Amino acid sequence: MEGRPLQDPELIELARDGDVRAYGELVERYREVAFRTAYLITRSAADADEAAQDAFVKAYYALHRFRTQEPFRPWLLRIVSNEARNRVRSARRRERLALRLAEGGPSGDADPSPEAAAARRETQETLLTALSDLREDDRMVIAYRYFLDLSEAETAEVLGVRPGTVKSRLSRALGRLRERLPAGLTPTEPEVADV
Amino acid sequence: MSEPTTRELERALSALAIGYPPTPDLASAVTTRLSAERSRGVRPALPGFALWSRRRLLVAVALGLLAALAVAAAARLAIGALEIRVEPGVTPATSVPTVDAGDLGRPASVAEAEAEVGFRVALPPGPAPDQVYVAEGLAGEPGVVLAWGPTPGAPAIGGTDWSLVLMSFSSDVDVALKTVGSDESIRETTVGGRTAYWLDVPHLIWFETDEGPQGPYRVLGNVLIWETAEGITYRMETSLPRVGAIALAERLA
Repeated sequence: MEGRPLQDPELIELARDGDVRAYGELVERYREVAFRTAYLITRSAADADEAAQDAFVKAYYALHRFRTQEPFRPWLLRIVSNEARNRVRSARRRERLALRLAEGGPSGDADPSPEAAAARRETQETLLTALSDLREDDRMVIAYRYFLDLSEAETAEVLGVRPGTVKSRLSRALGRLRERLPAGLTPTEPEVADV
Repeated sequence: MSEPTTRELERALSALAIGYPPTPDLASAVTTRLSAERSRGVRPALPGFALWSRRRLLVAVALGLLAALAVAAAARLAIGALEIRVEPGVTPATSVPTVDAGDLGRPASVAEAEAEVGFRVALPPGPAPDQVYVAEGLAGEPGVVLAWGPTPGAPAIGGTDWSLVLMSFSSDVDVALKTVGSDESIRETTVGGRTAYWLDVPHLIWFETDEGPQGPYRVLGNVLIWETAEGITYRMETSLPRVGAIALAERLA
């Protein structure tokens, strides 16, 4: 058993007993998704850093309320999203940055022509702009499902709603996103190779 | 060209490569903070205590104070799910934290909240609440917390981001205990012809949870408490003066 990475429930048990290093392992495991969740809400790297950090601290002290048979990630992300939302509220008047695409083009691109790459990039920029204009609950249900790749059940846990509600919210959010896209725009996506 | 199908939209969204900033070294930052707090004696709470964590240190103090209050309370006023006790000389210290509406529960829509609590959530006229929370873990039955942000005519309540917080609970349970320093701080009034209490001085509040009392928390806003004939207890915390608060309470629908 030596060297076997501890599973979440084991780390949680240790952390509950005050083992900060064990909790550090959990933070390391989930820091990226936590930070990205906070960033998608705050759209500020500094606010996302603070929100994620505070959420991890808050989660540590709330570990006794966590049911170890449940997945840790959605429970944590719910705390993160609450922290991030609190920051957005308290900085309501502050201009928030728009989300932007990563440098280097969309992932999974199979060596397109420069023209095709430029067209695809433009389409994606349009999509992202339309997404940024959505209200937060629409934006986040889309973000949880498609950017953070959470399952429907995980999204429901993070949002504190039933899985069926996620379906209906997502459907409405996609509808509102579609309304914001310019007429005639067809989002193209790169061919994804089967793995 | 036609509109994108849902499938096309989903695939395009999944393929979007968001330009996230680099993820900071949260593990070091968090463990450093926790180690520092641990060296000051803060540890994860025992199961069963607390609605939320950073105020956990105060639980022992709260319990001690509650025990003292049980002996020393000079006057008690109960209205539905809430109780007000007069404890002569009690003045909230500035070190006592305030409580944010968002700390009390999880976000929900009004419809979802109503489904959870089993009663209709009454709303005041005007803008819809900026946030709706289902307050869980409070004395066994969930309640609803509605919160509105500040406006030019209604500034934020001290210690919160909100100008108006409206809580509603079934009157069948004991949800919160307030302590004030003087019975002169409590003004009896009416809302819709029914007895109500108005407090416009800083005071303390404890929340009764499934696991015991949580608090104290400092309340800096003006508070109106009343109960409806249907057995729902309301607690309105606001920056409005008494007359405005009562008028608003009477227009809940």
